[in-house]
Amino acid sequence: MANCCGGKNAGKKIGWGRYAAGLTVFIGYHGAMRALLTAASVPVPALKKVRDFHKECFETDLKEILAFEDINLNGRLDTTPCDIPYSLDDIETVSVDDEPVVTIPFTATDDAMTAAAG
Amino acid sequence: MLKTQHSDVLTESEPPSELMGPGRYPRLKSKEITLMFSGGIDSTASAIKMSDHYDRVHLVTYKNGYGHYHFDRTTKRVEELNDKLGNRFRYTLISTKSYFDQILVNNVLRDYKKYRSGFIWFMGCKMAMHMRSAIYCLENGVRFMTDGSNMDTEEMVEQSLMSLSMIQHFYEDLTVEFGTPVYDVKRSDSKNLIRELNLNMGIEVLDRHLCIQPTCLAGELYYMPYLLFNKRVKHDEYDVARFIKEKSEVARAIVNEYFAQKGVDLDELLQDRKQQLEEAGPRNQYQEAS
Repeated sequence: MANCCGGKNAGKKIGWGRYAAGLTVFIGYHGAMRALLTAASVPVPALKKVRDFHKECFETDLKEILAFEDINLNGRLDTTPCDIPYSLDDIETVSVDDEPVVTIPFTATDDAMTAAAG
Repeated sequence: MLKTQHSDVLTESEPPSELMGPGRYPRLKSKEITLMFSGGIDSTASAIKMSDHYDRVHLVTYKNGYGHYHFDRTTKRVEELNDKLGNRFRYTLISTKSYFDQILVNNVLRDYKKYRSGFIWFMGCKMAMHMRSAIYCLENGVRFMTDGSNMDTEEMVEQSLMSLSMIQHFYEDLTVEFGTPVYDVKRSDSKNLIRELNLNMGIEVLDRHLCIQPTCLAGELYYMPYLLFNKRVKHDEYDVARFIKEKSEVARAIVNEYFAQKGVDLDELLQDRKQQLEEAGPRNQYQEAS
């Protein structure tokens, strides 16, 4: 996958302590959700799709986390510039006291949109 | 707050000013704006800014029906804003569950196989919200639409420039003018704006303000690897664009059906709006409306 900075904190270094605590929270929260969806999909069969979708997402994320994919554990990740089709330099930071700037720069995304239309 | 039973509107702070019917279309209101509102930092800052430029700000909040709760927080925020800024805000809480089902949930497994990423849940949810916002603007004669998208939260797929641009095209087809007033405003400035009005800032944890807006369980789960491990959120721009394009067509069909059920000819309604827009003339939506 490409084309995404992935957030302002993406790729920042974390240590083993945070990784272990994070993994506990991650599995705990998802596990609780899985149990909830499984129980709820008995009286509401329409939720089976949601349950199965959650299972797919959870398993994919868990595999990536266990493989340390895109996680900068103890500085092991070489942080590279993001690969997005526009330059953030083109976006000016303004003050809330200024008149609002509202125009979204269409040109920034022409490539992706043309590709999608194609 | 009024309780409405007969439609997808769950709560509204006041009844609509004019009711639309076959051949009866609302007058275009260029000094009013609709804002997709949660009560969080960005949408509250947008609401405050918009109240400087518009006579009336329509705050719309959506409930998707899937682990989406604590809407009382939004209601409290609206009350705070009306108290501080003089009853300029009309609030409506709308259920988007049936639209979200049609756009995504009914085919979520098929779509997951196709796009291979959980972003489809959020983008699908957001498209249902934007679609219903466009309907809101058409029903209430509101010319402008906005939200609190901000570049500081660019990890959220629905707030990327590409997604916003495609959404803007969707609105444009329905004669609604969409923009994002706080996109490049620093989050710290938005916070200061809210603090100056002495509004509730919630519980501050790191950069986040908890308990001031509804909770979205799916959102918490999806962005958890980013929050816990600083793991990059991966969205392929091409896939996101393809998804939005596909779902825009579904959303447009829902809009057609919505008005058909009310006996309103959508083409005629849009034609009427276009005529009114021509009469009103082009304008910079925020600057000239003030």
